[in-house]
Amino acid sequence: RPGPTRLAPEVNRILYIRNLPFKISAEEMYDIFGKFGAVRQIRLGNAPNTRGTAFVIYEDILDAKNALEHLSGFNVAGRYLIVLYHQPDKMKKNEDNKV
Amino acid sequence: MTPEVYNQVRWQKEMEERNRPFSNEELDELLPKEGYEILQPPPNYIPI
Repeated sequence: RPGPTRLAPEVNRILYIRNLPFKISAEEMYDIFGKFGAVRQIRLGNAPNTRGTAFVIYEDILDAKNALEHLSGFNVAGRYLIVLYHQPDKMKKNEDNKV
Repeated sequence: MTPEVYNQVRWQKEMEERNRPFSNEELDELLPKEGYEILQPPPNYIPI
């Protein structure tokens, strides 16, 4: 059996979701993302510039990877989900140059 | 310790490190607070 497959560095437990329907409920979010494993926390955008995006944090890194692979392009209410690994340091960078 | 065992041990250590539970403070550092609300899990949510 091949050795354990090493996970790429960008793989992590925080997924950044885009293109969500604006009126999606907590139940729907937990229903869609909870299927892949225990969810540690979900933060849903509620401001004009964050609506339609969310951060979904899994307890286990393999669940997050599995969710990303299955949910990228998943259709929710006619919108195709964009699922990315959250890169905290990149976020700090573009927060710096936003100033 | 054969190379396979060594890799196995190293992989497990790495996985443990990358799966270390997040504290709320850590999440606050990693994630934006403004513009986002933390959703309450629905009452019937049972983590699988």
